[in-house]
Amino acid sequence: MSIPSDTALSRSRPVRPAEKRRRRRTPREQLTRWGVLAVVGLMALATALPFLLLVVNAFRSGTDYSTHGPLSWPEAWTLESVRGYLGRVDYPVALWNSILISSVVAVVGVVLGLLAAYSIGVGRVRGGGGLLAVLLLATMLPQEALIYPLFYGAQATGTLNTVWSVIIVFSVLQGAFATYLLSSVMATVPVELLEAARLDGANRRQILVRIVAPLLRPTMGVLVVFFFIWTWNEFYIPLVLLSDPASQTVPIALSTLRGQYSIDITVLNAGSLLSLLPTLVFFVIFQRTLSRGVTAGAVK
Amino acid sequence: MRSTRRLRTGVVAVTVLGLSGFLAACGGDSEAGDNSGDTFTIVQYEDPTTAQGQGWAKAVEIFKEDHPDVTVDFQQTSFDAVRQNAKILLAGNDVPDVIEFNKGNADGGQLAAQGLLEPLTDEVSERGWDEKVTGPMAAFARYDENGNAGEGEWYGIPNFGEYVMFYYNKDVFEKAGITEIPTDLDGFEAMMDKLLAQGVTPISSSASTSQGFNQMWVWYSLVSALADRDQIDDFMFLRDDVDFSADPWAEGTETFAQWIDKGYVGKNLGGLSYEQATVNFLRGNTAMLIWNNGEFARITKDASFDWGTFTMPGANLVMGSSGHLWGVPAKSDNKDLAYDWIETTLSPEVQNVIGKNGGLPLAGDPSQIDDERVRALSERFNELVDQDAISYYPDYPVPGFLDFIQSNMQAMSNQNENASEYLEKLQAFYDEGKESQVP
Repeated sequence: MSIPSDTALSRSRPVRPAEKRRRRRTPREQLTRWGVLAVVGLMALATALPFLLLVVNAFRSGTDYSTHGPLSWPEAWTLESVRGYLGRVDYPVALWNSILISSVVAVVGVVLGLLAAYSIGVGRVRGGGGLLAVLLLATMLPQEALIYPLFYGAQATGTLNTVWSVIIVFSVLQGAFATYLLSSVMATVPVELLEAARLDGANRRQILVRIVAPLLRPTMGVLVVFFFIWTWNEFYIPLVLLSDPASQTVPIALSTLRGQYSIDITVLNAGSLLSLLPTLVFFVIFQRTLSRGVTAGAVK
Repeated sequence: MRSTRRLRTGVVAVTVLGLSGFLAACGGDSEAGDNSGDTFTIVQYEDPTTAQGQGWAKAVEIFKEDHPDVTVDFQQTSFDAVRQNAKILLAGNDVPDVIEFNKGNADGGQLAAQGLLEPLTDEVSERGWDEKVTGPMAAFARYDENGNAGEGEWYGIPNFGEYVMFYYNKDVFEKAGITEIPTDLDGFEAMMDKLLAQGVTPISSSASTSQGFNQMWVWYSLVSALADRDQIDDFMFLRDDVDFSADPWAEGTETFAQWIDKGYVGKNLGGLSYEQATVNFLRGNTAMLIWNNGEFARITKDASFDWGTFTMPGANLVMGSSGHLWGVPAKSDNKDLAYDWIETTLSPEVQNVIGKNGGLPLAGDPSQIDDERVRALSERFNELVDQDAISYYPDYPVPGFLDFIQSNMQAMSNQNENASEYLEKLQAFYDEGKESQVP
């Protein structure tokens, strides 16, 4: 879970090119560079291939799939499967639920994390390390172990079968992860900077809003994107807490397509594609503001 | 040190909040909701396009006519959701009035043993459901106090059944000069030799540990073919001890190993799932597919060749069972309506809709079915039920059996394990599981 965030975070540190001066490359070097390009191209293709397969099989008829297999080019492109999916599942409702849950969790999780991390990372409270370990534990616990307390908690608070139960649970879980990550990043903020601010008469709130938060913006941006996507893909906890179809999320709606002894593969592909598009759009939009945020941080 | 004090206050506040939430959860049962009096909630997971789904749409129609003042909330969920959730869902306050659930000791049996389902025995005899749900179809509707199937109170009512058959490609058979379906196992093997001589893989199979059930079904079909009723019932319902080193287990498993050696089931099965086995059959790469009626509708729609079905030639017993069950949660507010609903799903109108669409209704009338292939499917099923010749699925008896069998099927298919090694492991696993099931 932390691997993608690590690579994304490392980009927030300024990287200086190893050699600035231009010089002629030997043919041997040229060859190596082309070789590397070819390997990277192949890897990119391999990464894109499952997605292409998904698209191809989402827009062909079930009969075509059954007689020619998943790897062949479709005989004809058709919306039959997409229509089948929309006919079986109340997609607009599920889409709205998923967007609502994921957006609220992404924002609330990061804000919670920022506030908590500020006290641990900058406030340097006693036992901060132990607290972090506890928070990290919360994110590492298997969800199966949490499900009974969560279910009865949601029932007692009357949030069972509403999107709020899932929003609360994931805001806390993602918030715990954000606290862990942001507090370790905050520890790297130079103390001189904070002291200077304090000398200038800034109080704690002002230091957080004016100094610390802007410094952490790139990291928080990355966290928002990841929290959105992770929450979007969550399956087990929403499955248990949201049994009413009116509150279901997209992955759960998708799972209703699978029977015990039969799978409608093309409809499943169409459904997966429709479920994946919103996260893809979200990622593409935020990728831009993300890189802008990264460079803004780097100049400082 | 102000921040430390604040932190302490925070910790105390969180602890108090958490505790109060916990206490509320423990004591909150007194206000258990009986506010759902006029809404009747049905939770089920059949795809609306299947025979069962269409039958139940009809049932909802009839039910609404019979109960005009009741609002029916017909909810669609998934097999996996009910399988994972049922225990939690039915223990909560807001339970559905009637629910579809999976049969077997690990699923329905657990729900029954924990008191989450209402015993239906009185209703069954009063309404005569046991005349429609009979013999092997009733076995997994009844569970004892340990949640073991076979006897005890009725907890669920099935509407339909299923059985395992060979779908065969008539064009491929013709090319190999096969004109008649053999009537015994030797004839069946000779027929498969003919197919092999043509370079065709006789049986489309799969053995992936995830969803590659075909090999397990080939194996258990062979055991069932040689078994008698008592031997299967001992194994299935944890009665007398089972000796897996004796027949039918020994001979069935040995034959299965030979079939793998001879190539009857194809090669490289370790990574294939049933979906891929089905596609291999539909593409015409293999002559037969072993599966239950779950793919009947798809093959009808997608096969580009003439095809038919038959069950294992010369078999004593054939794999199959009743389908999913209707149950009434113990906390249901509308139990009488729930009984009426189950009655509706067993009515001739609903049962015949299921039958006509290729499902296998338990109380249907095959003569009402126009399509010849569908009628034959239904008639063969009724025959098997009447002869008491259904042997269920092999993974029912003990917990964790499915994963155990699947991984051994994969090992045998890859020829990393022989028949006697498998049977030894099977004996140990089964005996241990049985001990925990029968205190």
